[in-house]
Amino acid sequence: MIGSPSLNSITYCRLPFSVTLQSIPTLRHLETFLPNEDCELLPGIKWGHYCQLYTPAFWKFMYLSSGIPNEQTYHRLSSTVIEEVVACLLGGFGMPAELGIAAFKRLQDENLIDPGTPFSKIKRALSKPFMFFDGSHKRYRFYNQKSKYVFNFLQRDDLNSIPMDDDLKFRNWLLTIDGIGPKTASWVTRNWLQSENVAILDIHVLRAGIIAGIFDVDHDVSSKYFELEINYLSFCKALDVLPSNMDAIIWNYMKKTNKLALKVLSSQDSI
Amino acid sequence: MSSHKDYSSPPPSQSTDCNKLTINTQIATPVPLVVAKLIVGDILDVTLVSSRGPVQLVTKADEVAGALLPIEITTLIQCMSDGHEYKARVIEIKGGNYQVQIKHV
Repeated sequence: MIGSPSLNSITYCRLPFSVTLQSIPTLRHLETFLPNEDCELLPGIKWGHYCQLYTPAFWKFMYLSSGIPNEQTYHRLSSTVIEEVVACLLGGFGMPAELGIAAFKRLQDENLIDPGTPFSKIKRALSKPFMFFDGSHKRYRFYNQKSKYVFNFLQRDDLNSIPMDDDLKFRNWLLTIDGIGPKTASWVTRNWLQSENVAILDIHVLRAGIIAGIFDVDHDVSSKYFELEINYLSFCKALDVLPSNMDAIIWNYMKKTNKLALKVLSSQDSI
Repeated sequence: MSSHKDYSSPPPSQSTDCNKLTINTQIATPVPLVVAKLIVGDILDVTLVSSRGPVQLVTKADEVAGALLPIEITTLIQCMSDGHEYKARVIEIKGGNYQVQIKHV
């Protein structure tokens, strides 16, 4: 967990300049630029060894080795903000990616993402099974609840005056939508406005944050989302990485190493 | 990058055969005094310092020669965490680069 800086005079270790993949001959040369592993990146958070999984130095290494330029990546799922909200409403916790996208595509293809659409039509569309390329059929779970969210959203009378000139105001507005919490609101904000002022703190990013020392082990994401977000954004700033690209890298890697990450979290050497 | 990160995905396949895992890689963070003594064909122990690495290469004289780059060791660490053991063989020395092949024992 990020502690309080005890003295203003304390300086924390940073890379000597903005290191990019192009500025080093090979990835192995990165080690010559990384601060000593015992040096602090932020108060109470050491850089760690870049060859040790989930340390801040490791994430910096993964960021550089991903080959993603240190610039924003396009994240939108759709062509209008209304559709973007619906796409994200249909995804989220526990929803397989292909099913959420399929549900959104069906509403889109059947022209149901419209304020005049009756609830029954949305519900009927989401309740029918979805067929995938491998021939499997899957049902969209929670279709009744999600249909209500989509219907209620489309009934709002302020859809023509959505505050999109400021990312945090936009997120606050999204938080007034039934069915949208801080994580989904941040997701839409990131996607739509390419915001680097928000973080999408899903389970994988939270686990990585605990192991790296950004978050307390016993954090409460539901009540402390915005405090955790500040910690995450500070971490990215100290690493000189874009929060959006960093969390995509963290998410993919943590998902891939889920079993190992859980083992690390439960072991003594996780922090 | 995935733009669908907030959608859940099925757990990744756990089908990696740890017994058949072979990795050709360079030694990262080489310790100059130790690697200077290495010759092609030397066999090194592959050790896991903690449950999340680093993965170190250790000589018969019990000296640490270096670690492995993190990008290549995810599967190796997962297999070693499950109790599998590996050895590294020095297969090429070129300039300051030491290439090793890691195989199950």
